[in-house]
Amino acid sequence: MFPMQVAELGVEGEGVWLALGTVLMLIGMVVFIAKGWGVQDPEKKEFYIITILIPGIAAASYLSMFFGFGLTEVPVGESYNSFAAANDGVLEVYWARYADWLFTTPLLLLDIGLLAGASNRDIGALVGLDGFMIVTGLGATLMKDGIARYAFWTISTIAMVLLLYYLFSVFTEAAADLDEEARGTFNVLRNVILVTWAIYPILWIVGTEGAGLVNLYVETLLFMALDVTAKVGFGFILLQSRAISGDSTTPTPSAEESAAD
Amino acid sequence: MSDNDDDLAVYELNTRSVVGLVVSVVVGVAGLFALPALQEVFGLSFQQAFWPLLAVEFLAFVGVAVSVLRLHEERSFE
Repeated sequence: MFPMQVAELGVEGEGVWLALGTVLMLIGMVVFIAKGWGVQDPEKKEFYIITILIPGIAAASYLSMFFGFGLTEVPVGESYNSFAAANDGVLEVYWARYADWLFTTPLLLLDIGLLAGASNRDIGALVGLDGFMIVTGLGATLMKDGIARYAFWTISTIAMVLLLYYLFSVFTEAAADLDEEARGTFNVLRNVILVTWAIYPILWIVGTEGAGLVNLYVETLLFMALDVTAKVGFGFILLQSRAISGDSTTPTPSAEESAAD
Repeated sequence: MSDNDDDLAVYELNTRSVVGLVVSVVVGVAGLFALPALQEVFGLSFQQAFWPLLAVEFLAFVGVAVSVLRLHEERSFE
């Protein structure tokens, strides 16, 4: 059961970037597993499990898209953009990308929230906002009417701006109690999220699902590069940190809690 | 908790959380491949199959998050 990709696109089209994305995510996952092998500290294990799962789920998503399981067609009308016009008014949409994001972006927020020492309530609020952002982004992608697509894109982008602001303000405040090393790692990871996540809606609006200024081949390449940076790059930075890697005895929040006790 | 209790406290793997973690990951990954089969088996349109599947994906994330955060239970000897 290989629905569309192999038959119609394969590795000759954007499939090459989907295959590369699968491989890079798998490499990231294997490296993180190797790095975390033998870690005994329960709190560090949490970081490792979450960080390993992020590229693991993403690899499955890229494989799903490569084989066509994660691909569908949305009839938007020939007047929507040049790609719809060239394809009888139909857009090819990789829905698995959004299912992946609905799973992995909350895990990224959980990772950075735990590092910052944010409260469960703050992490939960951010995860809720994140879910809303992804689902409304999906609405933009799956709508047949052009105006509704851009309306949902706007709502999703506003949610993203609120999310990034919340991340910048509340999580940064929570991280203020960390030691210099852990705070430095948090700042870098926060900035990685701020920059990479902000590019996604721009890519959507210029890509085949939006104005159609960028073709599917380039769009898939750029999404893959963003995904690998936001997931594998994020994981490398987090697990290289001395607060997590095992070079220090325990993550800073534990040490401070112990001192407080 | 006294200093003595601190010395004796150990972290024990929560078996239910391990099972929850594995099940959530398997469900999440399977969901990424399941849509065409769901449409074919139940005769559903894309939208009819997709939104429930998306809800399952989010529940799989919740399962992972809860399982990871409860993976270890602190045990102390009285």
